[in-house]
Formats: sequence, structure tokens, C-alpha cells
Amino acid sequence: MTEEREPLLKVEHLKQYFKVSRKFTVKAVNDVSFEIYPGETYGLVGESGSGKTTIGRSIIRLYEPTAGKITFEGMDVSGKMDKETFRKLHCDMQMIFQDPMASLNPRKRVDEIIAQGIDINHMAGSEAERKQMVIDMLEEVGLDPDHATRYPHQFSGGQRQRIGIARALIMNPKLVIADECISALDVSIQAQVVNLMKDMQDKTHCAYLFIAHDLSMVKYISDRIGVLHLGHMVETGTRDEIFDNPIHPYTKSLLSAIPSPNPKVEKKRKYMTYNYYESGIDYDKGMEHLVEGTHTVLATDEEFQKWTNA
Amino acid sequence: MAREKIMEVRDLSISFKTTTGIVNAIRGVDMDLYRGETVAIVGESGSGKSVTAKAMMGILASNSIVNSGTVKFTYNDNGGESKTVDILKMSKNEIRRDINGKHIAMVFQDPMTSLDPTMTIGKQITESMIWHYKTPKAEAEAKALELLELVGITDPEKRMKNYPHQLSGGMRQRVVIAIAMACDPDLLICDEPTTALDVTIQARILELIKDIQVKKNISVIYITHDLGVVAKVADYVDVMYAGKLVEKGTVDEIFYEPRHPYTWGLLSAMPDLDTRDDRLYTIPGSPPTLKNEIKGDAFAPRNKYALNIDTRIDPPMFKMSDTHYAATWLLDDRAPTHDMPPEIKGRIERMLKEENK
Amino acid sequence: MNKYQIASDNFDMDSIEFLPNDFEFIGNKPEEHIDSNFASQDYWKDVFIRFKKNKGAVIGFILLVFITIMAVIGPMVSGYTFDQQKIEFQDFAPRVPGLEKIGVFDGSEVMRSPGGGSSRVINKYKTTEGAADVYYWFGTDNLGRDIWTRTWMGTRISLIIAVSAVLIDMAIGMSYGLIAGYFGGWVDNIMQRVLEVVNSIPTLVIVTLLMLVFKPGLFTIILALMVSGWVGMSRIARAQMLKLKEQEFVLASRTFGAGSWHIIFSEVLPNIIGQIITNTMFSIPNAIFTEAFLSFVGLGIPAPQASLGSLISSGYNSFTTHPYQILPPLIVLALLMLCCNMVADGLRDALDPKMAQM
Repeated sequence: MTEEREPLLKVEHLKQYFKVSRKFTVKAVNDVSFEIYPGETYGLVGESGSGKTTIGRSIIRLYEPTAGKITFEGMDVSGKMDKETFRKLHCDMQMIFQDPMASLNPRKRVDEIIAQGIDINHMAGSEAERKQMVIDMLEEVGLDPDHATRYPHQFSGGQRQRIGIARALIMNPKLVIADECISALDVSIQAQVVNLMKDMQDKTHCAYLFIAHDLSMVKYISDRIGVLHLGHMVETGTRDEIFDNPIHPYTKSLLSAIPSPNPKVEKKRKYMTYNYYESGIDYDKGMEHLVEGTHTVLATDEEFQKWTNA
Repeated sequence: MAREKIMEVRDLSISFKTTTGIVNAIRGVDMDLYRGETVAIVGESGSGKSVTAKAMMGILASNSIVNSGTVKFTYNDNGGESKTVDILKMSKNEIRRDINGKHIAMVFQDPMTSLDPTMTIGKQITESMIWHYKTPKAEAEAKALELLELVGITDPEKRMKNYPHQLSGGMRQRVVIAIAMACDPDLLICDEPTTALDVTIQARILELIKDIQVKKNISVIYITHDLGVVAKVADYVDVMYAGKLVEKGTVDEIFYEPRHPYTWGLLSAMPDLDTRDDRLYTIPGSPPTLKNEIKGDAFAPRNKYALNIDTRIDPPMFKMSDTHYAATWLLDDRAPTHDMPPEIKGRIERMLKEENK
Repeated sequence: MNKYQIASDNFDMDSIEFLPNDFEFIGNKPEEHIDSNFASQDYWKDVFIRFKKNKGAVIGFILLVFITIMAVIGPMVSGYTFDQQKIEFQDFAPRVPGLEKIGVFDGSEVMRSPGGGSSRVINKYKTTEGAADVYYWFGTDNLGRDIWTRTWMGTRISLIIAVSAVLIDMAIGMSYGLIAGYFGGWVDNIMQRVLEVVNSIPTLVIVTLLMLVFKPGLFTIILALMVSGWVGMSRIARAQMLKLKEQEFVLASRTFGAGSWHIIFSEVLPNIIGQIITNTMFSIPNAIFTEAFLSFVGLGIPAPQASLGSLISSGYNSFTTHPYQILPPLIVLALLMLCCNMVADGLRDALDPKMAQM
């Protein structure tokens, strides 16, 4: 089935470097490829500094990709875009941000924030239509439409993240990049937001690129998962492929580190260590090896032999 | 062996004066801690868990008002005899001289903010020993090396001369722990010690704290909202909500036999790796602001199981066992029969099964 | 006896009157929007309330309004013009109707002989012919011009300078800083070098150079301020922009395809307007003082026009003999600067409550 579908987003050999000084360049993302299909949730996990946030921002063109090709809905969005492509990218791809306070302009009213995309892209025919769209959206995300004229600081963290979700989803996007969108929230609020995101996906059939460091949440929400380490995609596959049959030692160590809310198991669990610099693995030499289905792992031929036979 | 109580908090109630009014951050908290044991204080932001810890250390902010309560701390004086003090009655200077760093040490969430960027690691570790015990410099340095080794830092001689910015996040947190351990404290308070760190490093830091605790027989208080951390480290759990304890018990009692609806929500809001339900069980709404007087049970408006009495009278603590208490009217005999939500029931069954595997 | 004991010490179950329906479920629905919102007002309303609480700032503001009103109507009510000279009425001491009856401001002054020996009280209004019914509220200067009128004329000049300083700050400084900060890279690099060059030339040199081309006067002084007065503001605007442009809400509007101008003036500017206003208020006394200084050293407003600086300068010459000549412009200048600073202080605390705690 999967092979027949046309991917919604195709990232091929994406590289994103940042020049810090004349001599020093940070290679935040190094040769990363993956695909997202319509309506699915792709989870991107990795620790801080793994380049997961950078990938999200490069895709939505907050950064200029250094090299590689990004195809979205069949259009090349990695190079110079014509007006129509630019518009389509900014309407059909949306982002939900990490910090519910910093991602909402404190001097703007909630209705202005939510309608921002409509205003910039002139999507509403009339003032009345715009207002109706905002009211509908507020109700969808479980906020009181009467509060549309309030300011962000008058809301709690969870409510603010709902506003952020409303702002993205009012554009009817095909892909939503959720960049650590729950990690700044309290546990009980996280669950509310994740439920809301799932509900909205059922309604609108949008795809999510869910970027997080919390593996248990990623496992819960994602259909497919990509594991990032030091700017490289070390392993990607469906949720079950990754969790039931992890190949790469980094993935294994990451899975072993997830704290489980079960004291009897947790107290006994031992953590698998992994140190890239001492392991002798060189990500730059690695190639993508197909394990099965959509499950691929970054390794040299010998490493692949060793890991799969072990 | 008899348990030796080192911290006893009774009826603690603290408010804060803010520009927009008085916030009642803690509203009557009782807590006990015994030597060598680990207590985790769990709650959402604003539940008062950090304020409780700060009260225990005597480092409350200047706009705070202690309405009532005692924080009795028992420690071994220099002479070796045990001494009990009420931290809330001590002056700032006395606390600095006798308690902080010496008998109670704290590890904060962000290692960078608790390290001095202009001082070498070695100096920061030896500083408190020299200040509290007048340890000779050479001896203090020898001990600092020992401590760095204890917290698992390789090449400690070299690291002693490093500045904080030269270390990675996980290393810095190790250094903070070494500093905290410098004076052999009786009590270590860890305020979200791993939230700023990656999962892989998180696990190692927790194991490290545990190892040290066993070696030195100290008590540890964890302040966290991460139930995975609680499951890993805690012996006892105190669940806080809106400035009150709502449930306390051993870690097994809290995870396998929770009685308070808030604990249910907290437990099931975090998916375990086998959660396959379409939706997570959630507590609706968000915690109340503590500016207004709360009538009855503060959790009632968010509680699916709220009883009419909850809107009028705050429930007392009901005692299920010597260690297990919960504050909810559902435990009164007159309460209607009720069942845990199926999500949490399924979860507990799964957890127990997993254990037997 | 309850199955579970009650463990709270000061809890008396018997004292509670239970209602029959107490132990029934309320039946809370798992609804999502039961969140109570934080009651709070509009930002500007909050600012106003906080400003009102600061007594110094309010007094400063009232005085500032009073001085402004006087600058407008003051010269009209005395009946003299600022350049009307009456040589025979020179160096008259203040004389105010009404007050003269109780012995103050009756036009008399103490004359001391050089060397500080004997002193005597004289009243020129009585000794000069035709001055018996003349009143100069602040006295006259050595050319017989009314100091009251000249003081308020000078205040007018100072306020014009103040307003132009604000406009220059806003128009040039703010835009320059915001643009440099937002675009960054080579744009910022070039703009910063230009700024450094401008900033390295002392104002005094600029004014002197301008004098070669233009006549000394208000226009020249404003021009001088325009060349260099906006540097401080542009630095603040740039720093704020650098801080805010990586904020997620700015990134968010970029993901919608918002243009640069929209982001600079609609997203970022409203967030820094507080600092901008505060800084503008602080730059006013600076501008006023620059003018006063230039006039004092003779590079400012040419005679017969008056500015507070030139009035102080001429009053300074006869300070020992006729101290009343220097006092009015001096007091007004001091008050003006003090009030501006107090209002700016109050505004800073009101606009950004976090700053006050630092």
C-alpha cells in the first residue's frame, strides 16, 4: 500500500550548515532523507543538538537549506520559489511551536493571532467570514469564542498551546510541523494537547511531523519514526519496526533510557550506554541500509552485518 | 532497624505577596522524611512543590509570608550529638552558617544557573568545605578529586581547573552534585534535576544520585512532575495539588493502588510504551490560581468524580495503611461506589503483568 | 466508624453538618473549557494604573504640563514682547502686584558696594521716572527687557527642541535600529559602521561646522541633533530587535509568509514600544541641555531671541549684582529636566514592571 501512495513531503539528502565564523561551520543537519505520507504522523526523535528542530525549520523555510531537495505536494520548495509555490507552502504547511508563551505575540489579541495567516494570505472574503472562521476554530480547539478579544497572558499554558494549534489549523494545512509542542507543558496538560491534536487529525486528515525528545509520547502518537543523532538520521521505520526491532546501537540505548512509570520494572531496568566517539562508528561513512519494509538504518556494510546478525 | 526521622513538616502554610494580590502557595502541608530514604514530591507547576522544598531549606523568597507551621530538621552536630531545629524560626545567617550546604544541599534544574561561570570547578567544590569546616586547602582539594570521581567524571585533575562552560550539560549536573555532596549533607533536595537533560543522560544522573545515596546513607527529596523519574528513584511519593497534599504513600501504593482521582489522572496522562488507546485519559482544565480563597476541594471543578460535599468542605486525609493516605471524600463510607477509570485500570493490570514477565 | 480512619489532626467530622445529597456525584462532564481565565486588563490600562501609583512621576507630569502651558500663554499675558527694549528700565528687580504690599517682590533690591562693605536697599521703580505703575514680574535685564516674557519664550524654544528630539529619535533612530537589527548580516554591518562614524564626531564640532553653512539658530541646532542625536535610540532598537527576532512568535509569522515590513512594524514594534517611549523621555532632557549648553557658550539661539541657555548666560554676567536675573531661567530649566527624568522613570516602571525590580 505504502509504495503506491505519493508522499506528501519528500526530504532528500538535506544538509543545513550554519557558518559561525570564517573557520567554523556547524553542521546541524547532515544528509537526512525521509518521506511523510498524507494523513500520517511522522515522529522525529533525538536529543538536544541532534538537529531535529533545524530540520523542521528548514522544511518550512525558516532557514535556507544548504543542500538537498525538499519536495512538498510535488513542488520543489528547497530552492528559489515562484510566488504561487511560496504561497502554497505557507498555507499548506504550518507549524506549532514549543513555548506557548513565546510563540504568541503578547501585544496581539487572540483573534488577531489566530487570523494572522488568513490576513497575510487574504483568505477571507469579508470581515464577517474572517470572524466566523476564528469563532469556529476557537470552538474546535475547546476555547470559549467570547475570549477572542483577550490577550495571550490571560490564558494558561495549555490554553495558549490551543491557540497556537488554532492558528496553524485555521489554514487547513496538509502538513503540520509540531516542534516540541508539548514539552513545555505540565503532564496532565500534555495529554489534553495530544488528544486535541489527534482529534484534529481525524477531522482534517492532515499529516504531522511530530518533533520531540519524549519517546513515550512519540510512540503513542506516531505511525512512523525517525531517530536522529548528531544531525544524521540513524534509523527510520514504522513505530513497531523501531520499537520491536531496533538495529542501531544509538536507537537501542535511547529506547533503554525511556523512563517507564512502573516502579517494579523501572527499579530493575539497566540502561544501555552508547558513546559515539568511543564506538568507532562514523556516521559520514554510513549508508542507508534497508532492513525490511520502510525500516532503514544508517551503517556501513560491515556494521549492518554485525548489528543484524547479533 | 528503627527509622530515624530527619525532617518533619507540620501544618505548613505559606503565601506570597505579589503585585496582583496574595497567592496562597501552600495551604497546610504535613510531610516526614527518614534517614536514607527517598521521597518524591509530585505535582504540576504551581502545586507548591518547589515552595515546600525552599521552605525546608530556609531559602524562601523575600515576598513570602509564613502563615503557620513548623519545619523540624534533625541533624548530627559537629560533636556528633543529634540536634533538632525549626528551620522557619532560624535567621538567614544561622541557616547559611549551619544548614545550607552543610546539612541540606540542593541540586537545581538548570546546572548552568547554579554554577559560577567565573570560578573553576575545583574552587567551587572546595569553597563550601573551607567555609563550613575550615578544611585546609590541600585536604579540601583531595576530597574534591574524590568527589569528582564519585560522580563519574573522568580525568578529575584536569576537570578541577576547567570552567563550567567547558563542560557538557550532563557533566555540569555531575559537578553540581559533587558540590552538593562536598560537606556530606544529611539531606539532598533535587529540584527537577534532569528535566534540562536528554533522556540518555537523565538515566545516568538518576543512577548516580542513587548510588551516592546508598553509599553515604543520606535522604533525598525529589521534586518532579515526571512519573518515570519517580518510579525509578522514589521509596515514598507525595502528590501535591494546589498547595496541598492529596495523596501520599509508598511508590507501589501510589502506582498500583492510587485512590485519589487526581493521582489517577496524573498516572494515565503519561502514556507508557504500550498505551494503544485512541485517547489518553486526561484531567480537563488547568490548575486553579491560588489568588482566590478556595472553598472546598480545590480539585473538584476538574474532577469527574466530584461529590456535592467537595464544593463545600475540603476532605480530610483518610488513612488506608500506615503509609498510604489520601484526601478525597470518595473514601468516606457514605460515598457512592465508584471504580477507577478503565484506562488506568488497564494500565495497572499491564504494569503488574509486565513485572511478572 | 469509617472504614478508613481520618488522619488529619484538626479535623472534626462531628462538627460538620452533612446535607442529604452530599455524597452524590455532581456529575462533572469531562469538558475541556472549564478553565478559569486570569482576570486582567488591557495592557495600556495596566500601564496607566502603575504610572498613577508613582507619585514622583505624576507630580513631574503635572509640572511638565504646567510649564508647557506657561510656555504657550506666558509671553502673552505680561504685556511686553521678548525683544522690547527700554534702556531706562534696565536691571529692574521683580515687582508683582499684590505681593508688593507684604514686602516681597516690591521691586526693591539690595545694592552692595564692591568689596562687600556697606549695602543699601534701593527701588528703581520709585527712582525712575514713569515707572511708578510699571510691573515686571520677574524683573528686567540689562537692556530693560522683561525677563518673564523672555523666560517663557526660552522655555518655548526648549520644548520645541524636546519635541524635535522625540521626532528624530522615533523617525531616524528607531527605524534605523530596527532595520539594522532585523536584516542583520552585511546590511547591519554597513549600518553599524555608518553609525560609529557619526557617533565619533562630537556634537560641538558638528554645530560649529554647521555654523559655517547656516546661520546660528533653532534650525541649526535641530539639524545638529538630527545628525547625531538618534544614535542611542537606534542602538536600543537594534538590540531589542536582535532579541525578539528569534522569538517563536516572529518565526510563526514568517511561516505564514509575512513580509519584512509586516514583521518589523506590526509584530516586533508593539513589543518594544515601551522601551522606545522610555528612552525617548530620557533623551529629552539631554536634548534640552545640549541646546542650553550651546546657547550658553554662544553657539545657540542668536539675540534678540531668547533660550533658557542664553538667558542663563546673560544672567550669569550680573549674577553677583542682580541675582534675580539668572534665577527664573535656571529654575525652569532645572524643573524641566527633573520632570522629564521623573516622568521617564515612572514610565519605565509602568511600561515594563520587570525592569523596576532589577
